Amino acid sequence: MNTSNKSIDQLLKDKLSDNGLAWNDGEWAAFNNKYKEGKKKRGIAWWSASVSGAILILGFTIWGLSNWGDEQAKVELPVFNYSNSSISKSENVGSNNNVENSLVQEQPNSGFKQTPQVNNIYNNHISVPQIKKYLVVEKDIVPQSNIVVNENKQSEVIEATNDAVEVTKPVENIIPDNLTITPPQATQPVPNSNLKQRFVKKKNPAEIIYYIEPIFMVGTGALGSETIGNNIISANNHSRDFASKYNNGIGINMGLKLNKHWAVETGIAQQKFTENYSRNRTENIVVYTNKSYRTLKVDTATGKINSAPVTTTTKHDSMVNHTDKSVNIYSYVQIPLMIYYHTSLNKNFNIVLGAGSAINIMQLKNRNANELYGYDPTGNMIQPKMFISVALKGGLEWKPLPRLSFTLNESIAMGIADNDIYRIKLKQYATQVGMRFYIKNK
Amino acid sequence: MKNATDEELVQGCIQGKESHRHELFKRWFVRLGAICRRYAIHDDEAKDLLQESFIKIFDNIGKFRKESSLATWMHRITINHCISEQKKRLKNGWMTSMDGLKYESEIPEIDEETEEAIDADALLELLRQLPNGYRMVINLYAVEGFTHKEIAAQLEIAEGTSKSQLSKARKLLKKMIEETKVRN
Repeated sequence: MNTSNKSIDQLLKDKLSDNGLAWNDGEWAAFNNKYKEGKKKRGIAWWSASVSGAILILGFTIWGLSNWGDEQAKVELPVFNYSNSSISKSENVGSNNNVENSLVQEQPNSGFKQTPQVNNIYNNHISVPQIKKYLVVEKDIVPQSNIVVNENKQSEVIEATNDAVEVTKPVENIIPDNLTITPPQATQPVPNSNLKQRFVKKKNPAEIIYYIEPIFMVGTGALGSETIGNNIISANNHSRDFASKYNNGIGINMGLKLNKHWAVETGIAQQKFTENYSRNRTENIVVYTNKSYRTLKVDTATGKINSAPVTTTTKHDSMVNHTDKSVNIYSYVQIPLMIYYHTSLNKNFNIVLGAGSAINIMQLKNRNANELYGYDPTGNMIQPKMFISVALKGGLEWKPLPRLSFTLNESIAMGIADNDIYRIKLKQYATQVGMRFYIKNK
Repeated sequence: MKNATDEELVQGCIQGKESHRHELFKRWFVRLGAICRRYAIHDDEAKDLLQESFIKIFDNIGKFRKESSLATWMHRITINHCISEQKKRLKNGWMTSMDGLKYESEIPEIDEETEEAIDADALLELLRQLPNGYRMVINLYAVEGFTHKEIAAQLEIAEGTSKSQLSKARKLLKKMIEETKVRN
């Protein structure tokens, strides 16, 4: 081996290490322009990226909060309105190259024949709708005969490839007069195709949604009543006023959503309406019975007679001073049947309006400070009384989770219970707070 | 400006002075251009690589910590950029794994007569005709002075692959040089 030989590696290093590009001042100008332009772009890109990042983070945060656990959040794709759509002559719908032929209506004098074969192809193959573009190109006419052509160009419609540029000239102006392109869906429904299915929104299968709602009620009730008995005379024609008292209850409702808006609901609730006379008051009620005067100690609305008869000679001259504490407790069970209309305020809030009636079963207990009575003035046990009430309800439902919502309702119910014991006009205003647990059954 | 030191030029570039950028660009154009030429398959591509390398240099010159010389730092940026661009182009199977295959450790040699017969540009053209993998490895090993371990890490290949590519590149390049000499 010759000692003056040089390895390939060394040869490369020696010859190519400094074999740089030739310098000229244009290199700097070219670079400097590129650098400055790039700097602007980089700056914009940085700014855009920062802003986009911030928007994305904000968006995701809002989205996350608003969709927290919301499996029902659905994105509805835009629906193509098939019946109202119009397709211009520059577009057509088809699935293969033969479609445009089938869409050209036959003109008696055009010499163009629509063959059965074309129709077959059309029928058999038009299954996947596609937008087909047409390009308008100017084509030089090469005279091939003695026919004199006044124009040196004519337009031709050709099928475009996928990467074709958009139509730049109205097709109407250049389509030969003897051709008519008809939008297929306007006059020629596509047989045996799923063209419509592509654009018709699929209806979701009927969704049956049950919900269970434990409710807690607080509010006031107005209980109007009259004194009992045929022989009662009220001084100054006075009958009992409506008493407005605290009302509370607890219950459970069960609802069935019939569709997006309507629901029926029933349930059972136990409520108490308590009249609590804890202050001294003067009653000037005198009862005339069998020509003897009996001063009544009228507890409350039921006119429970629990005072001893006092014979008086003068009508209307007896005054009773109530000094004891007396309480009437009306316990009743409500079984409502309501129909509700739900409307969305936004994704998480619904307004709920309801109307219906309720079967009420009422039981009266009355008591003074020391005793509890369940007997009427004749000594018979007071029996439960059933009456019907009607109710209106309106409220707000907050649905933070798909299966859980919180409800706040205001309701008003009216009912009349009337017999010798219960002569009650019930008006009940209640605020109902509940939690609904939805059970989906698709 | 011509007498400014590299440090002064760096400071000027950090301050955004165009004149300093101009001088630095001019001063290093040829040397960094030589690197780009070796990795590019033609000079237009080499110019693009060089411009992009300079953009990186100027954009990052504030990060130059003087832990190495400016030359080394710029050299490194340029090589990295060239490798990165070549890898983008050659990402799909550009280099067959040859790990475990035998390779020849002997370095082919060129006699003095042959060496004189071939000038730098001719040699560069031959280098550019090498398969991409060969060219990358022989560049990194023979000219840049990287070890096979470093090349393997840089190109994300096995060390053995680097060695075999180098071996084949040397043999092929020698053959091409000799053929060129015969033709001339």
